[in-house]
Amino acid sequence: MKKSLKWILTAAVVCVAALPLAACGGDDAPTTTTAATNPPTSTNTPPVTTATAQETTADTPAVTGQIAVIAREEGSGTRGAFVEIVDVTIEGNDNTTQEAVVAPGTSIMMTTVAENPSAIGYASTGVALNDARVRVIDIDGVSPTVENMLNGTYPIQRPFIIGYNVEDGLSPLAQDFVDFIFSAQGQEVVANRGYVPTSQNAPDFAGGGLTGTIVVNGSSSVYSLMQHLSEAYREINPDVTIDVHGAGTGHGISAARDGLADIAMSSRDLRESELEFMSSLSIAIDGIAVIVNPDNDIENLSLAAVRNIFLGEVDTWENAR
Amino acid sequence: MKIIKTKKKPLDLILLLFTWLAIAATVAVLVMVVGYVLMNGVGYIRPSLFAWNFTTENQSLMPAIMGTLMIVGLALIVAVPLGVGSAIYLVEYARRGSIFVKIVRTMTETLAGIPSIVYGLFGFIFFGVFLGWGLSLLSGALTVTIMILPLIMRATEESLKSVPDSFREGSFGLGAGRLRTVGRIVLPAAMPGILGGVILAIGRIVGETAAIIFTLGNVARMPNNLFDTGRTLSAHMYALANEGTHPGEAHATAAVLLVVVILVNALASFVTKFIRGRA
Amino acid sequence: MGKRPLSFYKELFAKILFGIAASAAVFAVGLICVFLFSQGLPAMAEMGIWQFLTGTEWRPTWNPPLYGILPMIVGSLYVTAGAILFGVPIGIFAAVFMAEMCPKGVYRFLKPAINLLAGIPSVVFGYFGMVILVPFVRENFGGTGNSILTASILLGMMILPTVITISESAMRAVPRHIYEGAVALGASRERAVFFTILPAAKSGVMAAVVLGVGRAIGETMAVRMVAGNQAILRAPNEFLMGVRTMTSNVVLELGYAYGDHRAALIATGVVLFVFVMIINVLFSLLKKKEGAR
Repeated sequence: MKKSLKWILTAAVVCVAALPLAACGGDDAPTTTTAATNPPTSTNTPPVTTATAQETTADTPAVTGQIAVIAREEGSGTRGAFVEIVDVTIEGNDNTTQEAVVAPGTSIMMTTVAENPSAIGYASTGVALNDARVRVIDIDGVSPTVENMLNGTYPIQRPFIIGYNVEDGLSPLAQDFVDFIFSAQGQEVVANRGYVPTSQNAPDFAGGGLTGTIVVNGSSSVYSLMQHLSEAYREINPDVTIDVHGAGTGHGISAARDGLADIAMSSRDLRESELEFMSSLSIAIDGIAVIVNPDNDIENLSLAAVRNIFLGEVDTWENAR
Repeated sequence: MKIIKTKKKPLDLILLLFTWLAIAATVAVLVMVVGYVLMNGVGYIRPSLFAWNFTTENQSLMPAIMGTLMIVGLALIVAVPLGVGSAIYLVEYARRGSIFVKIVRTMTETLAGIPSIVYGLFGFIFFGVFLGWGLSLLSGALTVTIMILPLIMRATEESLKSVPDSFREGSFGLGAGRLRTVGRIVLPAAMPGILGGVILAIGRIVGETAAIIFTLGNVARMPNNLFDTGRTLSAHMYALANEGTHPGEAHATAAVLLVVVILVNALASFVTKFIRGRA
Repeated sequence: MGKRPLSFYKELFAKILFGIAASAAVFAVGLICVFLFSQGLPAMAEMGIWQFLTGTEWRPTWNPPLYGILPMIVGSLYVTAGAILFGVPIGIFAAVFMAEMCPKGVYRFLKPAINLLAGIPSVVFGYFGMVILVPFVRENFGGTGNSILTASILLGMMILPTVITISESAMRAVPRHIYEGAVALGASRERAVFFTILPAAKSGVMAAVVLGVGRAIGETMAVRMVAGNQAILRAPNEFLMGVRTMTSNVVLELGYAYGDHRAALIATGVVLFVFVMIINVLFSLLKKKEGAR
């Protein structure tokens, strides 16, 4: 008895060790049960051309079949700006196809598009252009370069906004930080991060010498830039603490309204209801890049085609071309 | 043993096979997840990731590690006495089947079932807004305290129950009171099980994100006092995973997170053995 | 009175202290109820409770906004059921192995391994699911891969350690003589385990399942990475399509929401909470029934 047990055990351990090596088919027990309970039709239809895509990246045929639309979550500044500019709306309301996979966060968007050959999505150009896992396509033949955004030929761009409660005003310290953002030094940080500065010929920063804490909260898209800005500021003012929270645009605005944050960050234009109690300053311009999987050979789409894809009116790559 | 050797019926074999398959699948899941995370993450781990200060250029894990330790420590300080005390009351003191016991048990199961995002909402509304503690260490720690309470209670209860009644009878027979019996006889015997619950609890805190980001906040710096904000390793990873600007650091954080969990587990089993060895 | 020994007061004091500790859980549930409901219910009433619960359109940014959470309720139920389907059978069989069939040497490695599995953070599971499981499901079953099936498999994996650990300790708590009696009557080891010990440990195993359901229905971070998050009412045969769960709904949008939208999300949390309560009551009724038999 003891011996047979040992043998079975060794066999099992070997099996288990071999499982993860066998590509991604390791999850053996759960998936085999599904295969058994599955109607044969769904297992027999491989998804478009994706099955072999990963092994043969070199000479894949053009991606065909169903488009996998990847969108950001409702309320995301990136989604808000994208929907508004590309006009993915019906009667003024966001009408992104409900079938779109919702990727919560820039990184999840990038990974989802990188993993799915038939995907199309969008992300901040600052991130998308530096990530080799996805390909950025041209819109109406224009690529999202800084130049094209400055001269306005690249259509999908939005401002990064900071705001503060107009009733309470800014503390002297927060005002000093805002002055820094709009100084030559601050706008240099903006340009270095791959965004387009909003004020040319900004004056040199003259403030400093203060102490205290500034709380900044809001858009996760602006978060990274704000972190860099606060670090540059702290090099001049080492005694100042700046807490940067990236809890989301709406969260930041209500925090600033309730006095829980000095400065709010937004990755979209403020709404009229918000402008009643908030000031609005644009610190940078960011483009939104339309991204596809590197296996997809498409180079260019018209703005109208992008709109139709995200409305769900065009749902195959053959029709999109 | 010889009885078993004589004959195996088909049903026995099928049951045995399923058992083997199940445990193989479980281990496979572990090996896959751990293997994947470590293989992808270890390459990105550099000494500079453990620098004391966090900067955008160097996404140091140190503030997140310290934040995690503080949250775990604070939560355990409150939750372990509460949870263990509560289980002792239910098993050793209360009349079995009394209404109070039933209520407590139902409430514990309710707590165990409450999703972490609801804890996050509650912590935000109660500790953050109502008590005015804002995003702070204390809000975060007390929120996760409530969250892990049922885990510790359940584990302690089960292991107290598994201590044979003969232990208690022996102790009473020798003239020890209830408190002494519980403290000297029952609790030491139940210690491995209790520790198991505490490990589950630590694991849950370390892995918690949803409840943390709305109560502790998610700021990359060392909390200075109980009312200061910070972040835990999981929250750090959440931030990295959402921003998308540091995929390498996200991998590394996942690996470090796993290593921390492995260390906690190793420590716990060492302690368990130590206690067993002395008992 | 004065003649009572010191130990009497010590005992009394200890009893009261432990009693207070025991009421902490009750107190906590009370607080959570009061604060969640006071924030969520008025908002729900304003929107119309029925409309909120049975509305199939979730369009928070529309003018006027539509807040219907039926797709999310159904989505949560699907992925939880799926997780139970995958996780519970495997978990219970594995627990049987751990409790009754595991050689000591192997147990020394397996037990820490399962504790480790319990400790793996859900963010890590989510990342793993996104990079490994989603492509796996897409290539073998079709669809985008961000689907009910993917979320179910991932959640099944995540509830395994919960189910195994609690069931195992429940089985270990069953008195040995039950097993010995069965074996003495000629039952094989497997039979003795599955037909005497497992039924005797029923209440503990049930508790394990409750905890598993709780973890599955409440899982947020991992699900939101693999489930697709589409707020569409799905039919059960559309398990290769994506869904949004109540938890994902809250965590996806809470950061952005304010005003009515935020209230609607807190109300979603309240509905989730009520669901957990209903599940708990159902299970405790079930347990009571079995106990009475």
